[in-house]
Amino acid sequence: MADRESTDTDIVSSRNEQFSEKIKTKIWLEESVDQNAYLAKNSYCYGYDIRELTNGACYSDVLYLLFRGELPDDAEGELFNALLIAFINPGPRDHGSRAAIQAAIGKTDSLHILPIALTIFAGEHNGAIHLVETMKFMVRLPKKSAGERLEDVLLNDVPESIGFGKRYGGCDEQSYDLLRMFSQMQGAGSCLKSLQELADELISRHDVGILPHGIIAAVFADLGFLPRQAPPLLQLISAPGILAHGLEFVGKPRSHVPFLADEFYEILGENDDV
Amino acid sequence: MSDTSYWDSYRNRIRSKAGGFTLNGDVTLRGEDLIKYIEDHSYFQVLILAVTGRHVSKNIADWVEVLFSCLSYPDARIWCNNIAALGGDSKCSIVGATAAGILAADSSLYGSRPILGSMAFLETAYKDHQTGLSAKEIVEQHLASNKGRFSIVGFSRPLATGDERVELLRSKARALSMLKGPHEELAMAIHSYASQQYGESINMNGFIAAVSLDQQFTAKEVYQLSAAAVLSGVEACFVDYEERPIGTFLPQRCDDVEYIGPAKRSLN
Repeated sequence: MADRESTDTDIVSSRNEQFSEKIKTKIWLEESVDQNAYLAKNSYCYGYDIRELTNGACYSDVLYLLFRGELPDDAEGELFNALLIAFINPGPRDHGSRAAIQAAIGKTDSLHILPIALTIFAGEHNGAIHLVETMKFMVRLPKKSAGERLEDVLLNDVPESIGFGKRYGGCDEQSYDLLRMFSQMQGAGSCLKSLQELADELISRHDVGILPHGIIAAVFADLGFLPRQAPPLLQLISAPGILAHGLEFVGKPRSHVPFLADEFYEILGENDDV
Repeated sequence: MSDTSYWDSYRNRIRSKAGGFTLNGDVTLRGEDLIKYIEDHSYFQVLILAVTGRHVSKNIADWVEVLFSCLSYPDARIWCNNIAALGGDSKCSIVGATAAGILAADSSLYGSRPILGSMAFLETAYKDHQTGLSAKEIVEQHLASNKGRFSIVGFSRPLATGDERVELLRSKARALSMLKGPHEELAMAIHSYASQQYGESINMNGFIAAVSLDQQFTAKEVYQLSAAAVLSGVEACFVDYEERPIGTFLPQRCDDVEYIGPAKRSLN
């Protein structure tokens, strides 16, 4: 028989929170046709008619508009477009792409491939989870002295959390090249330029590399994006490549992707060393 | 030349602690023969073994099962259920919509994640209590470090005060021979003080935190165990709207969205 100790925990009352009656948005205006309030006649993105944008703007500029509220100027547009291209595909070895390939080869409904893959993409392996902290670091970078910047990285137990470190035991040369390309663009601001100086010093004297999410964070910072926007924006930026890797395997026989033989699958006990 | 021997040792090889299936029909979970284990263990014992590697009595597993039922109200206004209902209304795959609902409940407001905060609070509070702090002093210390705002995770439920599930979980725990432990004792003392002074009361999350600590679960284990705890409510809301005509879940007119952005403008 259960103990019937008396408590007053079940006295439930509403907090009477005031909720908005409608959602409010700065992003999109839909005007309905005269005879049907549900059917949109005109749509505007931050004030621009979507038809005019369709005819007169490029995709990357409209993407920028959606998240920043204004169209970019030429230099900003060039930098943002370069970011979208540089990180359009994390490659087939990325965890997100591998998840996409596993879904596709396992004959998962193809509509699930992207949500599955982007969920797995959003981890520490490629830095997505570190982007908020990395952006905060990059925003403050120009205000710091060269010595302070170096200390922040070299004394950090987890330099990956702010965009630095090694990959597979080595410095990432591809990222370093990309940083040089970005920092020389007209739209590069103080964050990218400070990061270039810091990366030069770290690589040449301390054998510490720059990681892709460090560069992405500096570009976002110079373009005025907010730290909280960065991780999901990276999902968006890398989604095309991840999806392409998944779709490449849709309809293929399952034998086209390795499935380890039993001899390479070792079942350990609880106390065994992995 | 970088030393890549660390990664080389993991290439083309899986060394699994979870277990596996061999093509001669043997299946292992955490070192147990799963087929034999299933014969005299419940699904929740299997789940707890899978997630924590620990063998627990059926009583504790039954209590975790009650916890799952309590975490999954089929109210389509609750955010994860709302998403599932939208999925049902759109005739999405139930698995996709359910996964979306479960993903939504990985939230700092509700679902599984607040348990991390409530267990962290109670662990610290219990240590403080052992050094002599009373429940009153623990609450007041929290308020002092929080600009006077009462926001103890596990003791401030969103939308409502009080929680109809606490008494059920408490009586179930006793019925399943889970004795009241020191964390539960302290949690209820905090509840009494918070309730009298601030009108805030322990919620299900806080109670689960207390009992889980008394049962030697870690916060990470409870968070990981309850990853899919909103399952039944999410599926219920999906199915409800999946069976109805498309577009009937809270249809919105253009003017149901208030535009507060820039005035109309042109590229030129």
